[in-house]
Amino acid sequence: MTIDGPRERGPEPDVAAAELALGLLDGDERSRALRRQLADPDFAREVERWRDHFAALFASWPDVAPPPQLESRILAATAANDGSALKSARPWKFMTVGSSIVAAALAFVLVTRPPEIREVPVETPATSAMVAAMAPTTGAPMAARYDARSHQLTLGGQMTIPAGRSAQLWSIEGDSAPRPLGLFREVSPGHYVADATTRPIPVGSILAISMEPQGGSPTGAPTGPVIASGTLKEI
Amino acid sequence: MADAPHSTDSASRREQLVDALVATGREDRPAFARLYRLTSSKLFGICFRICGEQQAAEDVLSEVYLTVWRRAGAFEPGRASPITWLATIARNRAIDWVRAAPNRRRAPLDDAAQIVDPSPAADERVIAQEERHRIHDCLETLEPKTRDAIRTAFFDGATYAEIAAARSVPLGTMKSWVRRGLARLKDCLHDD
Repeated sequence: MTIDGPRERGPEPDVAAAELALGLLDGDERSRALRRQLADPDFAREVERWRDHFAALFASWPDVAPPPQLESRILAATAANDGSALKSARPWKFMTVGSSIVAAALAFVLVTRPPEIREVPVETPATSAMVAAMAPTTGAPMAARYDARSHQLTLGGQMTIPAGRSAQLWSIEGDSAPRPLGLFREVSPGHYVADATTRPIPVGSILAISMEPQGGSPTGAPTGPVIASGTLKEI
Repeated sequence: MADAPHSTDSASRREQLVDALVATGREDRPAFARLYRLTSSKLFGICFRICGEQQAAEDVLSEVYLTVWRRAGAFEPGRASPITWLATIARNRAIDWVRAAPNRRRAPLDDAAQIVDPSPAADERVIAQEERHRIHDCLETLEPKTRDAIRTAFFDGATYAEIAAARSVPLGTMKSWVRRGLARLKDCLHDD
């Protein structure tokens, strides 16, 4: 029921990349756009372009001076955030200011840490080995092998991971939002391994690799460019 | 460049920012303090507007700088402008805060249109002039209601559902306006 008259009728344009970049979407629409961002490199590049365009608007954002005492609080919090401060005599400071960061960091560690107790029986699919041809945005395709028993994905090929960045693995399963998995490490020249979580990745899922800040996506959703993606198939 | 004196200012300011951010990536505390002084008003402005309340904006700003402290090493000077990199973190964090709980939508979304194209202070000229003008000019070509919705999405971090509710417009209508507006914006931005 548009009030704009016939001029604006007709099929709606597909501007999901702009919608995702602006943050207009929520719920299923957002999940769908995030999946597309991982599965479709052209779409991912378009999201990046829109982010850059809108970023120009930051120049017109009005400044507001924060209260003066915040500066010392924040500088102290980063001092406490050094890790060494975990053992310091004043952990309360760390807890009050940095508690949500700590929680986020812990959650991240819990999610991405390789499982230590391998004896625990985990439900695995009948076929535990699967493969995916990972089509990169540039360069030659890479072969990925997923072992549902060890929860590891092995990748053969050349990946350029800039200093200070991490290559992160994602799975897109059915209709849900992309699931963040582990970070790739180079185990030998041209061979990379990433830990998935103990929950198996179903056949038919799309795997994607994005370039994230060191340590992985800070948001739980992909933030960096997608460098390769492919569909997981049974051998 | 037409405004050479400003460009020089902005170039040196941008350089200062890049230096401070890169040094912060090496855990240089004095550099981090310098970075805070150079950028906290801009980032607090972002947190304050999106969160809509002082205490939350302060908490989010703290988180933003903790994130910056831990992740400055990932900043690539060649790829992004330092202020864009920082402002994006602040906007995302503030939006996360608002969306983490259903009742956090604060100040009514009524004045995004008042953030008019500024004549930015010299210290804001760190963002490329050309880009800034292009999106502003293109936004000006849209109908006011559409421009308002897109600005509200950016400056308030609002979703379709929130903007539709704030403007008392059916959700489908709001989506339709904005989608057509974004399509026109795309044509305008790529028209060169």
